[in-house]
Amino acid sequence: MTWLNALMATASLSFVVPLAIHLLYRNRFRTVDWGAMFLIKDLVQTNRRSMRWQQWILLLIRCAIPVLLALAMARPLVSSLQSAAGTAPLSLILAIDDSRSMSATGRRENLLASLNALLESLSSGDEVILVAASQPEASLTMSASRAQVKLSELPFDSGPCDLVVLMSRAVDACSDATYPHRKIILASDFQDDADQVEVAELSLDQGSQAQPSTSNGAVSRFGELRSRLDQMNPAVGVDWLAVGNQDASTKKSASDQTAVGNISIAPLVQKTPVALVGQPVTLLSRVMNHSDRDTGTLQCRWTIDDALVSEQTLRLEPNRWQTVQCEYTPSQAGNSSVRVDCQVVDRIAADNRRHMVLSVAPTVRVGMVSSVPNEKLQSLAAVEFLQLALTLGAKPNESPIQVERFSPRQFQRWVEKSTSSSDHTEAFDCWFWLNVASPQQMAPRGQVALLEDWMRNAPPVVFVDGDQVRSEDWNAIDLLPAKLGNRIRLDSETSLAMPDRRYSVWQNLANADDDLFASVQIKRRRVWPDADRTDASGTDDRQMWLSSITGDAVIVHDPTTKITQFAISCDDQDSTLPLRPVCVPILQQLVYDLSGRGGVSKVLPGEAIRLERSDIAESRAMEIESGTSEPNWQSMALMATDPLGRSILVEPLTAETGWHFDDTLVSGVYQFDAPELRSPILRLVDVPASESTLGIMPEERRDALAEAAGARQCDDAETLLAATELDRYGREIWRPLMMATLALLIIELLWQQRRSIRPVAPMSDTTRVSSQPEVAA
Amino acid sequence: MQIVARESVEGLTAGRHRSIHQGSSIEFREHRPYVPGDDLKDIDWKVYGKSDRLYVRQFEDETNLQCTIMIDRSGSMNYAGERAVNLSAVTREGKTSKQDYATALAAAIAYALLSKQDAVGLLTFDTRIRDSLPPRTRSSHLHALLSVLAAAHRGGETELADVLAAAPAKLPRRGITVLLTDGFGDVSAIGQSLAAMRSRKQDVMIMQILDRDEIDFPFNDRIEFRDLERPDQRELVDARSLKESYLESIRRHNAALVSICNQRRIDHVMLTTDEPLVDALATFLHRRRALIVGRGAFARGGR
Repeated sequence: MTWLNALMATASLSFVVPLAIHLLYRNRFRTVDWGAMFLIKDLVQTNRRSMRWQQWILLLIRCAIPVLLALAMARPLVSSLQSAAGTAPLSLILAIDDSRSMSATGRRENLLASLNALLESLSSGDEVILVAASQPEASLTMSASRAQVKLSELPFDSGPCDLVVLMSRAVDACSDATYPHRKIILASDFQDDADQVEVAELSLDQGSQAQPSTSNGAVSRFGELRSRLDQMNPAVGVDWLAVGNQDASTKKSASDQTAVGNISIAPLVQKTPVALVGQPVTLLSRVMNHSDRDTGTLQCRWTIDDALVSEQTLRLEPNRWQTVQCEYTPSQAGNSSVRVDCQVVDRIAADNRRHMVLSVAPTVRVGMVSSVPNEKLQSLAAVEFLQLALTLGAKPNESPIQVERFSPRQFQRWVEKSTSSSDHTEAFDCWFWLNVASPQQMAPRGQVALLEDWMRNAPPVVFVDGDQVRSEDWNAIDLLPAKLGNRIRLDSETSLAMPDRRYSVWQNLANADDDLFASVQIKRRRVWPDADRTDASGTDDRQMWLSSITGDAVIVHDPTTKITQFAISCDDQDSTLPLRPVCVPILQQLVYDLSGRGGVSKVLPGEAIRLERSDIAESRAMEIESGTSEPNWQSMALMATDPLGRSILVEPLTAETGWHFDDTLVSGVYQFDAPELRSPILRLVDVPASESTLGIMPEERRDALAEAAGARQCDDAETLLAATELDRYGREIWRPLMMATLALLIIELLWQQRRSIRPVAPMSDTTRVSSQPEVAA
Repeated sequence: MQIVARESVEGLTAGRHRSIHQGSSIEFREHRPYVPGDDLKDIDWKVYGKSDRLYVRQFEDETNLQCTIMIDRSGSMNYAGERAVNLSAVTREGKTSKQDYATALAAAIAYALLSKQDAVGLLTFDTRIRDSLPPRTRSSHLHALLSVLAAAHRGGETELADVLAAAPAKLPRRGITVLLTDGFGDVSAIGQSLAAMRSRKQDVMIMQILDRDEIDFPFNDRIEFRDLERPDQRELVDARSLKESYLESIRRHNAALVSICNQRRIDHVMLTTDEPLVDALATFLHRRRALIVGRGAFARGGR
């Protein structure tokens, strides 16, 4: 406890005054000669003890009054154990949740107002460390005024914030503090899923919103952080500033009704697996109304490379969503920036538009390897059937799927070349291995390890069974999704079953009026001892894409290795599939789908964009004819242009691995260009749709987390300032002391009044009026 | 003291023009036929005018009142409050004590009774009966009464019940006993003693004299109460905290005394020393009248 006016505390010694008066007057009394002593004697014995108690209490009250008065005038400060010693310098660690949901109307303003008020209250000797959720590194120590500037520059447009991670980073930053007295303030809107690690993403494929995986360990993780803070000396105080709690007041004060809720656009999805020049591509998204009001008429515009492509008018009921789509036929290969935006005024402006990078390829290149020499006709049939199916319906040399045949030896040479060179001009989008006898046949120099190395970064491979396949050789290495058994001839021909929902691209074929799959008869097939009747519910990673009506797997896919395995051959020896019309869409869709998987990756704001040499090479491959010499990676000056139009020189991390760009705080499309490139490389920085929901964490859960973290919760600037000042200077308690003094004065006064004006019971009539015995009449 | 008594009596009877018929009764009893030898002045001529017969008016026999005043001279009667009336002629220490008030009242009563040819006696007591004057009707007896009343008294401890038990031996066979006391003592024992007096055909009137302080206990500070009957006994108390209990006690004591008196057909009058003496005397005379009427009725009933 400290005193603002310690000298006044000495006045508490004045308690001796009433004590002295009491002792002085103790022996002063008046003597009265009394007649009715017999009445008093009985009373004195019973009243003496209570009299003594009352006197002691009264004396105590009278002594306490000057003591309390003196203490109140001395203005004592009661401080907690975590408090700094008054004017000792303080290191303030500000952990800021700068996710997109914090940019909602009211939240950002409240956060800045509260923190600015706090920063302005700091003294010049204090320092601030800023830890923003979107920035990988905490800032260096800075002054309070500099911190205000930094705060105002935060875009509040990053991805979901994991509060545990943010808090952990703030705890780590404590070690960077200059002063021993440290304090952490975590400011967030405490969005509903902020304590859960994974965030729900909208999945248009599934047609529903995926559920986040809940992390019930947040409480224990906050507890561990609290333990770390308690081990520091002096212990570090933690305050949580919850700006989301003020949404209600914002809602009341909002004059514009449309600004009350939020309308967002979900991340864009390319419905067609691969975008090819001249082939129509369907792009999808959803416009969601998170408010309790009708949106009115909305205008949605699709823009590709800054050219308006499509426009759509819609109207959303409260808390509903609607799918919007755009069909687009690319005219040239390369990356295109696609944007859909909705002109509306709502609480979060940033999610009213959404970007994607559409990667358009000129064709899909398919490499087809057959183990049987071309001159052997019995194998030629499978290759011809397959090539015919993939290129059917297009003119020669204009087919979107370009097939190139390889013998195993040619394939070996190609693998050797591709692994030793960075030139990706000869890259294929998909490989078909038809009736390949053994892996040694495909491996360069017969070394299977080299083949396995190539497979790690290879495009998808489709392994088609055949009579040349030697099961023991393939089973010796763990490469194919299914172990190979014997090829068997089926006793009775069986047909294909309808495709499973695990591979939905064939659903349209199965849903046709005529069941196209039922017309395919299987006569012979490879037995897969461990993969037949693969559980479609997915007990392992393998997916059964197609099966017979008896349940035996026909096509199995391993998404990890990207290998798709057929149990039948592609000629008419094993099945009637090559002879049926359904063969064409099945195989073409399969190629498109496998080629298109992956696409252009996107990162969250604040995460680094990594450009590999292959990315540069692909960009060159689209514009430069093959045969160009190896570029000089060391001297390549790569310039990045962010969504705001700012150009930044990208420093190569190392010449061998590629480029690393981490100034990605703003969401949108980033362009990377260099003189060596004819067209820029596009990368997308996007925020998940979950950041558009404004729901906040239930109060009970937040309380539990705060308790585990040992944090006090503040809702506004006033409470935050009060909590900080309490930690730093302590609590001034002169008011309660003064109230106690007044209370004692009143008690003493009432006591005296009660003793002096005690109501005297009137004499009864029987005593006041003399009685008279009855007189006989 | 005589002046005080006379002023009190004359003040009370001022403005009245009532003749005093000494030695004869004024109470009419009946008519009876005239017989030779009857005094002619007793003939009721109005009846003769109506009935043409001679009737003689017959009155109640004259019964002179024999009143004995018992005055308590114990120490407790020496209490003198600030609010008592000023009786400078009888007070000794500037303030009128209950004793002074009782003495003045006794003198006034004696004066009033003697002036009506009633016999007045006096008993003073503290621990025992100290002075005793038998009832006399002579006017010169007043001097003797006043001399006893004016004599210095010792005070000291008393037990009222014991004195009252011993008093009947000193009292005439029939008469009125006026007891001037503060009534402090064991109420039940006092009641038994009063019952014994009643059995001796004594009409008893207790005039309980208290100081106003003893009724409303106006003390608030630290007070050391010193016993007037036993000065060595003192109690230092916080009068403020004691007040409520004391008032309850005095109320209970007085109520018990009144109850005892009612049970034994004893007249009880409470007087406080702040009341004018003449009012106290008026109260007495009023009660005396009632006693006479009551006794007359009793006498007629006995015939």
